[in-house]
Amino acid sequence: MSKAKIFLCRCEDVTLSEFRDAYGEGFTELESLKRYTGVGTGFCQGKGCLSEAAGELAVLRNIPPGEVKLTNIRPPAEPLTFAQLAALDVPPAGNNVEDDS
Amino acid sequence: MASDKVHIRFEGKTLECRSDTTVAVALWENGVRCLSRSPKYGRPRGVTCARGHCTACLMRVDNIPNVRTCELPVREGMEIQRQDAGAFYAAPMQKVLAAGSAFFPVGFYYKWFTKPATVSRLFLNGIRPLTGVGRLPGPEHATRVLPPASDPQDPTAASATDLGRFDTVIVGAGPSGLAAAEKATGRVLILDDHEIPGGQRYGALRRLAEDQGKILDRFDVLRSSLERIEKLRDQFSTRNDVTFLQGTRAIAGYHPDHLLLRREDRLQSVKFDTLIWAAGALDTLGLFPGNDTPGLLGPRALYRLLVRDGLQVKGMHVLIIGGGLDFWLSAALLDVAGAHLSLVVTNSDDPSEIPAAVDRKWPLNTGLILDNISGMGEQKLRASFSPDGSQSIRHDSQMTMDADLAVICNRAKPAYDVPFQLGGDVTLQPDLGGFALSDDSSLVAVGEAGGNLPGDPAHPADEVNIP
Repeated sequence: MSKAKIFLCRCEDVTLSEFRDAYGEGFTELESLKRYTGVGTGFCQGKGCLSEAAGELAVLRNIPPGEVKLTNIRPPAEPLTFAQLAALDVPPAGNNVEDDS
Repeated sequence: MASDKVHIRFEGKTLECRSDTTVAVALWENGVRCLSRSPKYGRPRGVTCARGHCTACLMRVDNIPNVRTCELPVREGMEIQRQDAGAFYAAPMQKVLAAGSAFFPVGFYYKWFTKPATVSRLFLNGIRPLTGVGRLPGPEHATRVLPPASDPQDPTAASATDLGRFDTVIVGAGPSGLAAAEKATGRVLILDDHEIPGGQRYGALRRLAEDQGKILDRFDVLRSSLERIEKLRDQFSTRNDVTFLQGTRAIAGYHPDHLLLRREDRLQSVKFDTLIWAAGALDTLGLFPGNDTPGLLGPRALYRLLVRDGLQVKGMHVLIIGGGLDFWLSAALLDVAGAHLSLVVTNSDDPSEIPAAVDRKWPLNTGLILDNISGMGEQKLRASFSPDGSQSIRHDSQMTMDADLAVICNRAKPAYDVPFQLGGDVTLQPDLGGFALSDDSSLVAVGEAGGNLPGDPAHPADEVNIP
């Protein structure tokens, strides 16, 4: 068995040290760290890791936790099949907020 | 618990299992804990959240990839295969991979391999069977149509998939959701992913109430928790004007007032004037080396596996680490189920329960912090601890404990994704355990989602404020 790693994101296999390295390379927002490391982009859509990642980022940047900006989370919050969506009588209407990034 | 047996096929073998459980638990009870391999490091992963959130239990079932096996009931003749767990991830291949990683520096872009197209196709055709990924469902599933909603007793489920508009929609029927329902007026819908109202701990507490040894009488925190939930359930049972949707969860929010719900495979759509977000908290295992080891669970996953799926733990050695209501509930539940316990109290805010634990002859340690957990083969794990510096108890140096199962009871974190999608103000609030919704006019967070802890006497769940 390989040396024990600390997993920040289990879905995409992002370790805490990889997250810190990415911060060291100049990615200082949760959004860019997500895009660079893959944290929060897996099957669970960040349920398992984004709160932890944001807490770590607040420590790295030495800022109050309330100032860490959450990434844009678009619906749905879990993977669905086309068959499930096609079985809906009324398709979801309306726009997600902030869908500009 | 007597139940019929069914047989499932797993990678060429036929396994016998109870008919009233899930695929993940059936495999566990047949000695298969590694359900998948992680995508980058190929590490073994076992059932973790037991509520269909995480990647760990995704398997190929009857030729359909990415099925959540922690929520899938077993069925006679089912064909189960692991994904991403082929020869590619065997230990020798890992060494080859590690040696090759020098050729892929930071910044390497995988699309450099897309030209010429013939080479790319050869590369992909070769690599996919090796990893076990990229196999699509068979053509017989291309036109798979969902069966009609199954429960004719429930008018809302049997009718169209659009439930219309409600004055108040309450997500979560735990203590705080029920308390909110008591105060809500007009047309009210309340939904929960359990079959009955009461919340994530209710089934486990009920199980303790049935115990002959009257374990509940020893632990005030557990008995008062059950009494509060029973009282709220009694009040709720008189509310014939409130619609309860069982086995349903909110899985998407469309700004400003539109929710998408999922019940098993079926989606439903509903609109609301006020949303009360009382969704149960999520387990937080914490950040330490080996925090992905199979056999490591949070308390909420434990309740689901033991109470909902009937996981047999008789004779197992179980290590419980942490503190708080879930720590004692996990310990009592496992004790009643016949497991051998080892307790490590790392959060000693609530020492009042310790005498009762000593009475039950639970081996109990304090003054330790968890350093790491590692897997010891398929079925065992080992936890290493070191002294936390408090002088109450002296430990010479690092100590290790072996177990079949480890339960980590940390501060849980709120679910926040759907409120964010609805335009809610979601900020990082470490005292709530992570990102959490702050109330605004039409979105209200209560219970563990909003900082009013059901187990916390300072914030009784029945004092939630509904505007």
